Amino acid sequence: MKLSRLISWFDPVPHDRRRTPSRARAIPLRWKYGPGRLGTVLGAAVVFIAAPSLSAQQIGRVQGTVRAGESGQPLQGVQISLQGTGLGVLSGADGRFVIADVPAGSYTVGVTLIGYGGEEQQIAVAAGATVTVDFTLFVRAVELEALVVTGTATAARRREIGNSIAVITSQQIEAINPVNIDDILRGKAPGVTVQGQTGTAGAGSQVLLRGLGSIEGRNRPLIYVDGIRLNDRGAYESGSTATGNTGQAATVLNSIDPADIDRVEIIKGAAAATLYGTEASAGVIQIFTKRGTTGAPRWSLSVETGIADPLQVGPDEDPTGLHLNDCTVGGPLRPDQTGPDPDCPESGSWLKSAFSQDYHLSVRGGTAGGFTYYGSGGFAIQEGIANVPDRPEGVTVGYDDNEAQDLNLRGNFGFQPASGLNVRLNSAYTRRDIGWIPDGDTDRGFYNNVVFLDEGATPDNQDGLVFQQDIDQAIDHFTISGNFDWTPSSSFTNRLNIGLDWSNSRTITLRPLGFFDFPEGSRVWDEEQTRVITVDYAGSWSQDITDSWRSTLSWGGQLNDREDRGLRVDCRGFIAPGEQVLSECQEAQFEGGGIGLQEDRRGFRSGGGFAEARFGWKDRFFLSGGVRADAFSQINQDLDLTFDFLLYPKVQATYTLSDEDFWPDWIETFRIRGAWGESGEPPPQNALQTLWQIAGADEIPESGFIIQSVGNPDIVAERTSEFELGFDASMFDDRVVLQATGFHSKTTDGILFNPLLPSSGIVEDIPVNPGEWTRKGVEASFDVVALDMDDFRLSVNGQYQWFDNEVQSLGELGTGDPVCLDTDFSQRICVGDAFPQAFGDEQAENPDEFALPVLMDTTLNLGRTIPNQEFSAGLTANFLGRLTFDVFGSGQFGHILIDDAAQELADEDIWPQCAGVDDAVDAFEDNGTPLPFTAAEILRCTDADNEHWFFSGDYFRIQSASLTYQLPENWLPGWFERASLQFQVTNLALFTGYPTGADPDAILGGAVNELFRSSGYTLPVPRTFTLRLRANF
Amino acid sequence: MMKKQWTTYGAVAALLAVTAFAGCSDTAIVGSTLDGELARGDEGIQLALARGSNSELTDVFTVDPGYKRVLLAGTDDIYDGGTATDEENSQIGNWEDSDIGIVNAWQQAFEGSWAGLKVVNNAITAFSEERFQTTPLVARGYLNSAHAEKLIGDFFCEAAYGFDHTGGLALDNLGDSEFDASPVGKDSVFRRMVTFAELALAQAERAVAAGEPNPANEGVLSDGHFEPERLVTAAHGALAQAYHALASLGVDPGMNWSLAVQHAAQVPTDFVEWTIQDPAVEDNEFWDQSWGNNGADTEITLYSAPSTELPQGFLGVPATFLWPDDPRVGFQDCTVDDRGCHTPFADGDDTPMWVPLKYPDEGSDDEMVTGTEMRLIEAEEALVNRGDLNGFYDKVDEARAFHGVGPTERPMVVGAFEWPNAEDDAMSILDRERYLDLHMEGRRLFDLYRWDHPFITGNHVLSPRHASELGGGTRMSCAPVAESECTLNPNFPCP
Repeated sequence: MKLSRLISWFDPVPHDRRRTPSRARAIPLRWKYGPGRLGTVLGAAVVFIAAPSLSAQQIGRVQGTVRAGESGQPLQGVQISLQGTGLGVLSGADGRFVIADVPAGSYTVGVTLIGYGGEEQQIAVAAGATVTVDFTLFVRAVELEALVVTGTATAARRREIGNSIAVITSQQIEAINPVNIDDILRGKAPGVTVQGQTGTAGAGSQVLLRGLGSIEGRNRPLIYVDGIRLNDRGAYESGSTATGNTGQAATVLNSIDPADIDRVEIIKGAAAATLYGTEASAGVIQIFTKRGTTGAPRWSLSVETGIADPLQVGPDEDPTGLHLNDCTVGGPLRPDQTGPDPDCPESGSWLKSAFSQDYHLSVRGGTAGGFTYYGSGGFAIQEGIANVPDRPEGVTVGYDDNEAQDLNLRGNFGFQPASGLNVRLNSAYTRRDIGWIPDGDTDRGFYNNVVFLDEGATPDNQDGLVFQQDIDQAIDHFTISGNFDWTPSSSFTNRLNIGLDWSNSRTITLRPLGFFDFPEGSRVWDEEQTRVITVDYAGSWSQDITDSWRSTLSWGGQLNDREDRGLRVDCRGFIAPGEQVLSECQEAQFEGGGIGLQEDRRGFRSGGGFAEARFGWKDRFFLSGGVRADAFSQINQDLDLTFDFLLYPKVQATYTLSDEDFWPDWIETFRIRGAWGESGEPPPQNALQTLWQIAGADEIPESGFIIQSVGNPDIVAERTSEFELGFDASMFDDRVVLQATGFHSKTTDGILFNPLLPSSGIVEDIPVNPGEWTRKGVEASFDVVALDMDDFRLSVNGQYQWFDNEVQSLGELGTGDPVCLDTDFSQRICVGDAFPQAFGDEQAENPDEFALPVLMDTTLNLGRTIPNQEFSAGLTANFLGRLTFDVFGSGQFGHILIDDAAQELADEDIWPQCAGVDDAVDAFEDNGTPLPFTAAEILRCTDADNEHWFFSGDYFRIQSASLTYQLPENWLPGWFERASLQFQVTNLALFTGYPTGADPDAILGGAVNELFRSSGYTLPVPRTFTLRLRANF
Repeated sequence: MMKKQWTTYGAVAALLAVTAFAGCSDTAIVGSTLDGELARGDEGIQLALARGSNSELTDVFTVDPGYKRVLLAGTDDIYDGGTATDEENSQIGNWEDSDIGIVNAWQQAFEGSWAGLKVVNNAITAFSEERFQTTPLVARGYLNSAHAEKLIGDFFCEAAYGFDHTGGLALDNLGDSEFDASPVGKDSVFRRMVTFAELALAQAERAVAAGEPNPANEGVLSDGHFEPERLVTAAHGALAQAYHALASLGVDPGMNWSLAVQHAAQVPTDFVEWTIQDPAVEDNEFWDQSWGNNGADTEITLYSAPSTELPQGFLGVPATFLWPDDPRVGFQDCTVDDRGCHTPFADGDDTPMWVPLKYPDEGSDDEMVTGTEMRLIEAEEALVNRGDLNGFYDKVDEARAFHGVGPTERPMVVGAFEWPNAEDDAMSILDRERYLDLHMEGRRLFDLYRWDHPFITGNHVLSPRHASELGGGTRMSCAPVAESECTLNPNFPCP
């Protein structure tokens, strides 16, 4: 088929209707590019069209359309302004904009959209006339004029700040088609690691910026939404979820609907996060939601449906997939068990194809008077791949599917009550209902009982009995914020953010009367509530010092007030089947039965102030310095104020060399930047004081104090000092964009827990500050337009990150040579090594020989247990501006990972890869029969300690491939502006050498566990197929 | 122009200063109590602390996998086929210092002792000197520490005390010079027990003299646990145990035997002093592993211990149905009567679940001092110290009668330990009666140690410090210093 015929098949719209009437640029304002650039710029068509006269005699109006140069598609949310007038609007979903009531005169029209190159055109508006001016914008990863606000005192252009900042735009988000924010962050910005995926619906992942920076700290970035801090729980984990009964947990981050996100800003280290102070050394992620635009209501609708197919579980040697894929036959796990699992579902598999649906409707608009609105509602259902049997006849509870339902509502409003004052009010409510299945490394779990066959806890291998349990979690999350921008003059700006973030997670775990592992039955009601109030003010004063120098002084302060409340009601023992609610719980049945209550509350208040001065020279060189003053958490029940301030300084510089005359034209943009700064990590809560708790609270006369934790009144916050240096460059008509950043940080006062001598009488560890460690790394990205033809555009992009940390000192802690501190799970922290590392003291000297293992007499570090390299790459091909093919993959490298399910199965002599090892060893010892197994395999199967079950966890996954077709306008009803149809496949392929067959990114408790990661007892990531319709009208 | 600029900067700087110094950070914790708050002179708070001390003592028995469960498996005091004990080591009494049961038992035992002293230490701060001298709470604190020392001395080959490293929470008025965490022997542990028990006795006697009421006037723990008169009796019992241990170790046996029986005589046969099991903290470990679930896997009463594990049975008696009618080691066969049973059969096989009647519910308490044990101490003293066989049998029968068991046969032979011991001589009877009377209370290991019992292969006491010398099947007669201690304490280099 000829290309032209192919084109016509894809694009029934007549060719001449696709293009704007003119591609001539009326008045090139900043002509500095070569001929290639001219061609690109010419693509940005600008037309002056006289419009019919309107009623007003002294005013006119300006209208136009903004399109993406790469695809020809309309661009939404572009900021169009008449410079120097305060007049401006955002483009709608169809890319159109109208600026009404423009006084007659000449103007410069500027358009900006984060992630795209800005454009300017000059126009003349005649009284009563309408001027049409169209723009075509191209993605520019190095958009130096884009405003960012995260990590800076007030909004600043990228060219003014010296630290790296990653921005993910709404257009990029739309291309990703995310189910949640994890998908947005995964592989889309260098330095951002998202780890943990699973086939369990409702589970979240963990986000790390620049890897691990703290051993005992949270390692969780601060999350802001529209200037308001979200609670930093990380995951809604309780005794009922994650490490408890479900193996996984929902995350705070995933309570935000990705369809509502306008952009995400990410700053990754201490050098960039100084102004956030003591809690910011793990970086900051700030999410901005969509806003209204002036004009008539414009609606956006997204409808999708999908199916998730489970993949093979376990090693290739086991065609039954550890009996999860096929439960109709016995063996090879247990050759002696030839019969099927008695509860094996009719389909013959414990896994199933799972369905998902997602609906999202939004509207945005606004009045000419400056009132704007954005409202949205979304509903999504996602099923997990566990095949839960039908509820047996006569049974009234349990046997519920794993399913997550999300309801999202948002209303964002903006208005201008006075000149120079812009007010935005943002509100969002999310409700997540997650029906978990019992899972994880627990005797009551699904995975555990299926793979252990008759060695599991269920009687007679009736694994369906685990679904007698009913674990339901409901998460309500409400956020409201007000953003007040007061700009009395162009030199003086003020920004005040006030907001409330409130969330409530309720998990009810029911084990009914007759439950196989606790026949008396139990019901646990676990409620956790968090409230965060944020007050954040920043002001700035800008002034020209000389013709070349301009200064900006900024100042501000924050106050965060957080309260956590928890209530747990534990009922043990029901008097009868039926409702089985708490009121049915009776003590009479057995001692220890009855209701137990536990309430706790934590209050935390923090605040601080900062000042920053920035000096700019000819708008190309900027030097800034600042300091943050705050106090870290004090424990004090009376909430006495403390004035024990910590100071965190910062210095930054950036120089846009490409603005200099000597710079070669073929490199359009080149900027070097450097930043140094400090920030902190507070001690864990309860670290300062020795605390006691009540034991036996359910029997008041017998309750008494027992020690809860031992505090250290001298504990201080960790302090991380970081230096980063990097560059941003674009060249060859912006077809090639390169960015790279190197960083080095040092953490002092590193917090570790000092295990006291047990003979001291104190079992609990005491937090101390002896640690010192460094972290260094490189982050780089490229974006290349490989082909840019009239009807075809091909671009590729990639990201790479590498980091390495090294413990410098453990103070007086640690023993041995090298000095090490053992932690858990065959892992330890050693001076001179990265952390955390797994170690082994019974390794074979001859691991690869087909011989009996000869044990070493030394302790070996086996490798780091979190990935320290990540690579992602994407390819986007666009045909005719209508058909887009997008493929994206990412992988993590440089780490080892334990499969403790395999290890424990081997320990029970039922791991498929260990079949025949014992016999082979016996034959070798008895008759000298050559061994078909290596020494490492023999050791692994016969010793079965943790240390033998670590393997390289490297993997690369084709995360997503999608085909999007922009429906021709003449196919659509008249009231439709545009619509697209998309087909997407995720988890298309997984490349890994991980030998147990587990998915190396399917981590047990993936949203929770940082240091101790295991791939065992976790359902693998399924392959999904999704069909999605988007429409604007 | 410049003046205006600096005026602006000055104003901004002033604003900055105000903003910065308005910063603050505080945390409130509700649901926890600060250490300092426990120092209040409030009787209720100090009572709650004393109750908590009791919970810490029960933790010795219950923190998974449980002190008794691991250590008693190694003495055949129980037979435990569960996964928490290493079948190839723990069940033949060959422990490693890294065994979680050893580590937990060590840690919890020392915490139990520390928690008792914390009660005393707090009372010093909270009460007036006059009040401190007579409060029964202080007697309870001392007594809890004494009990903890008993557990340490019974089971561990050696000990250490690092109580001066506890952030100022240690009792600082004991004048004890052994807080440098250097190794001390069993005799030193029992001397500490004597010290604490004597302090408890003196305090309780002052409380009785002062007419102090029971500070806990309702609930389970009030059942004599804080009653001054009962504290006096319990302290006598603890002293009898401590002197009995010292005499058994050969420390001034004449004096210590005398003191042992002197204090034992103060304890009536029907007396029981418990460490109260609080089901809100932990379940009774034995109940949990037998009635509560099938974790113990099979019977823990020795009634049908497989012959491969106990080839000679126990004390020469065939390993099946040793004492089927003795109420002290009663059991319920869940295959016959499944009332209260978790399951009739252990998981994955057809092993019948036989569950002990001694711990019938999750809140079952652990006995620390009993009158029947006192009679057996008196019996032993009569036999070993005075060679009085009649006196020995009288005391043995007095204890048996209390349990409703008839008198023993009386061959007038002292006897000597032989293995297997086929004769029912006096020493064998003493051995058996202590086993039955103290069944599953954690005394068996110390008996094996102090008697250099022939049950221990090789007929000698082995210290786990010399673990590498152990041969196959050799049993330890005391537990090693926990790995958690030896990795941190330079006085105990790990093997």
